[in-house]
Amino acid sequence: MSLLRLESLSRSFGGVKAVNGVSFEVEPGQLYGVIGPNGAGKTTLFNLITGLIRPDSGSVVLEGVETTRKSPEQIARLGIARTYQTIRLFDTMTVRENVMVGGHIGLSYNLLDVFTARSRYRQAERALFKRVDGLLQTVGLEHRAEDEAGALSYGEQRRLELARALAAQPSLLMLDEPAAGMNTREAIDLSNLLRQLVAAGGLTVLIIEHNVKLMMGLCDRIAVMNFGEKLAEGLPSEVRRNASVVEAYLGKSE
Amino acid sequence: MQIVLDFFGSYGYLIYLLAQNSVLALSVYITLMAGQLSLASIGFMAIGAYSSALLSMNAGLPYPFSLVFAALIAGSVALLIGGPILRLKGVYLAITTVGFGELMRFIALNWDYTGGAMGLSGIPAATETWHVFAFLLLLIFGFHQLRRSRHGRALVAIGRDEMAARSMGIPTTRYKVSAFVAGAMMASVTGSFAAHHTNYLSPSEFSFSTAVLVLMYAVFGGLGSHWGPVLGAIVLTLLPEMFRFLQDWRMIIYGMSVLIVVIFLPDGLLEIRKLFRRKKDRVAHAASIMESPKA
Amino acid sequence: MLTQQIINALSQGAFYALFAAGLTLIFGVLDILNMAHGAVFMWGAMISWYLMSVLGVHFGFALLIAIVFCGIMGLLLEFTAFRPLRGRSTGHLPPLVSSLALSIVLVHVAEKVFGTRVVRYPEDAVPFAKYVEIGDAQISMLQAVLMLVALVLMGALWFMVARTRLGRSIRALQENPKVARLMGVDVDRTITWMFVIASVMAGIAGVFLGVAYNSASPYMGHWVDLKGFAVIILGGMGSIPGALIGGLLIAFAEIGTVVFLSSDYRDAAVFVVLMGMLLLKPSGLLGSSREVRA
Repeated sequence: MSLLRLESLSRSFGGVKAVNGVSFEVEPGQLYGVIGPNGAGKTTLFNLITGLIRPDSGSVVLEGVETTRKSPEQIARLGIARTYQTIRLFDTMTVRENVMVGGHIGLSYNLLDVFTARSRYRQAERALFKRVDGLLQTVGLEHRAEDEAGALSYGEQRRLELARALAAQPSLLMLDEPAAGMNTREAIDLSNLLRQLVAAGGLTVLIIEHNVKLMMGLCDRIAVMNFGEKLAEGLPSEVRRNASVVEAYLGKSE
Repeated sequence: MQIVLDFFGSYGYLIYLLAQNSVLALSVYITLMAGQLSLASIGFMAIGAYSSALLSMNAGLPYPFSLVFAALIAGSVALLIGGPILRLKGVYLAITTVGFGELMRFIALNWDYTGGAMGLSGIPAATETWHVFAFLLLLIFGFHQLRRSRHGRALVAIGRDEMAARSMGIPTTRYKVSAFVAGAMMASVTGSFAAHHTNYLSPSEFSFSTAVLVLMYAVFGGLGSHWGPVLGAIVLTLLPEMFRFLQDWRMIIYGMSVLIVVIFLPDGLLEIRKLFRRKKDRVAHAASIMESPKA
Repeated sequence: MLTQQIINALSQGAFYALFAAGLTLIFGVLDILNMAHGAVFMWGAMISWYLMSVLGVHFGFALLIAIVFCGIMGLLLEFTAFRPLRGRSTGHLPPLVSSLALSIVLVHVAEKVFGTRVVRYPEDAVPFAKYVEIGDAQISMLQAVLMLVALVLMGALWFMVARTRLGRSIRALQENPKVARLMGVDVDRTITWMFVIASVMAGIAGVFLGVAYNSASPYMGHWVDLKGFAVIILGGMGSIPGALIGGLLIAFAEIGTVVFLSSDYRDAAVFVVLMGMLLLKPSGLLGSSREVRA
């Protein structure tokens, strides 16, 4: 069974078809990329999958469960975590706190536990604390743990968003242009990190990116979008050779 | 009772006010944490005051129970109206909550049962100042714990970016309504305390200007942590007293002082902490929350 | 009788509209509630009272002087309560507190200067004591002039916003402050002008109200602040025609309540209408839907 299946997903905004009949499947453990020029509808597609907006038609199925009309909270609880094209951190909270918010779903203690400082609460917090530390180390932000998220550099904020998304222990991690603003070195590091995370098991990654070279090297499969439609799909080598893709898009790699 | 208090100088009442205003400021703060600008505290304070007074006067309910009952009433009202109105944002929400407060005042003013414009008198005296302080301390502890829990973090997250919070699985509506209900109950208890402290209630105590003043306490103190509103309430309650010697210049200097402070410390008094930190780790808000949890 | 009430509602609405126009302008651009607007309004009334009552100045001159005075108050507002915060902080709360603090200062200074009592205008002060008959109703010259002035001023304001360079700057700021700045809009100057205009209109409203009700006091700004907020929400934040319609709507609701129910319920009427609007179309009659719902 595929992890994520999109069937003829469509959404218009005032007459403009932002996403038009897009379908594809993502298998568990894959690194699946979505590329396309600006305005192709990639972020809208993400928003449709995560429930931020509703599709006009079509469906989204996650691990056999239809999530098309579910709320963002419900979809998150089903195992999807994402990052955003424009960074959406909780800027007044510390780096550590941001990641801890990511771990919200995994905690189950209630308010009474909190106010009576029961061990259930304390243990859960301590466990999360340790896990967060680990995540911060993974993205290389452990030295900034107590700093305000808003004070971080752009690259650091991107890494923080990634750590926060990972804190939710998702089955599907959706990244919207995670390498934007990164230099080659940083992009390679990110690539390696993503491969490591997937290889460790239990994680599938769906990623939008403009850095075509990066995607070709990283992804198992790639879908190409333009004007809201899926132009092509397949292995990176197949996609690279596809005539319409070449015509519409390639040549603009960063 | 009033004469006795006056006789002992305003200090007894002043201390009471410090506690009362701090709790009120906290009742606004809990909704502000979640990014909701609610001026409904005064309305709920009125509900708490009148309910408790009437319950003890007409139903003979003893003091602590009338407080609890009144709080339950206030909480129910908050639960009822919270859902629909918390869909509104920013100023729209603020004005709606003002409307709610005015509606409460209006009911109190025009209903015979609540004494109308003459208000209620002869409310059994029962509140000691230490009651309110105990309540305040309880709240401070509550906020302290809250901030170190997933619930507190969720509230702040909702306040910063509600959509992002939802994408992390946080049921934002539930949290916002809960914060609203909590604030309502805090304000209600404050009102009940007030009713049994001064044994007289009048609708004019629960006005729009008082509601805005309470907001001012919270913002003036700083919204980075629960200490901000408490600090703001204390400073702004003491200031008019400290300026008493200025006589009719008192409120003018008070206003100017607040103005000057806000301009230099727009994020509240808590901002002063920033000056004591190295530039690198300027944190605008609450101190780091994860000193390792005690075993 | 009904005609009379309609006339009263129209003139009351005119005055609300004048007050609210400036408020909505400021909110539309700056996204903040100016809590000192009512204080400026009050000062307009008090100054005019002082001039007419104590110094025996003619109404027209008193109005003129009040206009200048309130315009200067607008400058005071901008330079002490709003501009210092513009570079320094994000958020709508600090300006709310600073304008509130300034409002406290203004009210108590008025208290100190003019005393705390409600004062009355001199008998012969208003040259508009004449009436004009319309059917079985009367419309006083004062009411007529107020409505005319309100219409003219709102029209002029609307024209200014729609056609002049200043108006374009204001609209640009309303849409997108950052881009506006990049495009060369002088943000500070535009905002300053806005405060002056808003304060002048509030002052005019104050003068007319004081004279119409023949009373003024340092506390009169208070209740009108609340009504003003209701008006701008009803009409739509940032919309000047909205302020006019909102003002009329509130006035009619109030008068209607007094006539058909009881004068006790007059103030509640405002909030009932407001709640209704917020439930149905929160952006107000002429407002845009963005930025309203969470």
